[in-house]
Amino acid sequence: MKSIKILNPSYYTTIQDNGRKKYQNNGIPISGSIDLTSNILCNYLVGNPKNYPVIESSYSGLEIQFNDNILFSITGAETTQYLNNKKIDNYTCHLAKKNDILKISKIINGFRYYIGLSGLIESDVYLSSRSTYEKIQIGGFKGRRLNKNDVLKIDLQKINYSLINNNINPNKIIKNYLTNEVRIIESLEIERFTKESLNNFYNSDFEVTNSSDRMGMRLKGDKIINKDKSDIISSPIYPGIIQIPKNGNPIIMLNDCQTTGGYARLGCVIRCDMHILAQKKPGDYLRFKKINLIDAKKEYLRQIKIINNLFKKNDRYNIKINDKIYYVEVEEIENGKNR
Amino acid sequence: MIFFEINENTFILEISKKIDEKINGLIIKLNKILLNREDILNTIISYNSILIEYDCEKISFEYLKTNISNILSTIHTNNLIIKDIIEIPVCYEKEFAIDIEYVADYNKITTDQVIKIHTERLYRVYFIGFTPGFPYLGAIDKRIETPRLETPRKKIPSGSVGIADNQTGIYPIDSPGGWRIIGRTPFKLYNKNKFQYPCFLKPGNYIKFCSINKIEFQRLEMII
Repeated sequence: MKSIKILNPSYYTTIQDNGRKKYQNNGIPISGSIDLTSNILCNYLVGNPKNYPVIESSYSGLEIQFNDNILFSITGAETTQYLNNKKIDNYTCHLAKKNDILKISKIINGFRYYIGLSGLIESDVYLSSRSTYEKIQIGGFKGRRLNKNDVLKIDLQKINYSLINNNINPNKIIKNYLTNEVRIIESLEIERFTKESLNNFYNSDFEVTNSSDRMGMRLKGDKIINKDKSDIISSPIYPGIIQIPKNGNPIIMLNDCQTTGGYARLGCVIRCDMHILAQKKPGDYLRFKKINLIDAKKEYLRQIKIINNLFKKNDRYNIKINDKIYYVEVEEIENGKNR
Repeated sequence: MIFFEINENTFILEISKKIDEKINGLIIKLNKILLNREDILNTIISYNSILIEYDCEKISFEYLKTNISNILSTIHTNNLIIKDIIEIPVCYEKEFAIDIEYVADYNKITTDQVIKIHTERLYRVYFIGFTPGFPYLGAIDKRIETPRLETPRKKIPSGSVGIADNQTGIYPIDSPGGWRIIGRTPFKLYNKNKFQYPCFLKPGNYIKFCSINKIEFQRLEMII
């Protein structure tokens, strides 16, 4: 079994996968990587299936020591990082050798970054997911954030050296997160809000406050006025939904959010823009823009297709025939027929 | 019945505006059917609505809308059967009930009357939400309805029984909360080691509270 050791855990570093779905009727949040596309891409780069767990962190300072030769990748925020003393690129697959030290020394843009390791990070599976949810200590590494000197074991059959320098340009798949603009679909209690405050909602900036976390982003800006002045009966909420409590300051739900809530809901951030939210830190600004469902659905399907195509080509093997080694890519063929 | 599409592949179906046992029963049955399907990625139920995330590579919203309307027309909820009433012991003594005097004063009754009224009724578990295992129970007698705290408390101990307007509920784990606390149960409502069914209560269950004293509370706490 290979392993890595956490030398410096930075601020809040957890193991996350694509979340714990179909268990929300037990009151359990979805959890999982807030920037799901970055999670998927960092698995792609190291040759893992797309739902494998990765390391999610924010703020600079994370330091990892590799105890074996391991392939890794860094995605998400634009970061400066060093492997030993050599500056390396993100969105690229690198080979770390035994005793190498990776350090994320600076975040240039964005907030959350992801580290993918080739192989499966040994972690707790709870209700079909390895995502950490600290409140009830489930998933991830003993149900908690990573601390100094934690050793993560990695189950890996064989290193695929052909993946080294494998890289990807995320902007071909997702909208650049450097924008402050997130697109939303209006729905639910939208009619409860005054015309004037909705006008302000789309034409002013909202600051991300420091009481934001993986549960939700609390914003500050023009107050959104609820005509009814009342709450709703407790109803489902979901990552991306914008709730407006009585104080008029919007809260955007994120992956660790409660399953139901009682504040009026104005609408929801589209899936294709969730990664923009994930990359905003306290003090950053957001601006909302309305989008219609037809356009949003088209864009989302296109994104799914690109990602699926990436993984179709992700089964790569070295095979040995008559003592000669061949490198092959395995691709699934539709209906089992040759194309 | 309104369908709200909230994002590219998720919608919320609101069957009614009010809290009603039959409508909630319909939602629970619909949810059971949908959760078994592979083209449904996730659901969340509440009193009167259900959130549905679907696999948009396999099916469309238009298909699901017709499909769900068809399923709903086959579900019968005419006979509401109340079986297996679960008794939940609660200690209403002051130590565990920081707001019981407020609830009594607010409603101009005595704390003994609050206990009597709270333990009289049969409550339906409408859904589990908020935190792992938190049951939304209702509806409570008008004589003890009390609004939430203006500012929620940072930590409510697990087992605390609270009131918020016409609802009552139990905090399964230590968590922040704004409900008025009138007692505490030694029962564990969320057991994370019971893998497939970590919640003690299920939507559609009926419960009744019974008053116990502190000695009984401690004895039960020891054996549970």
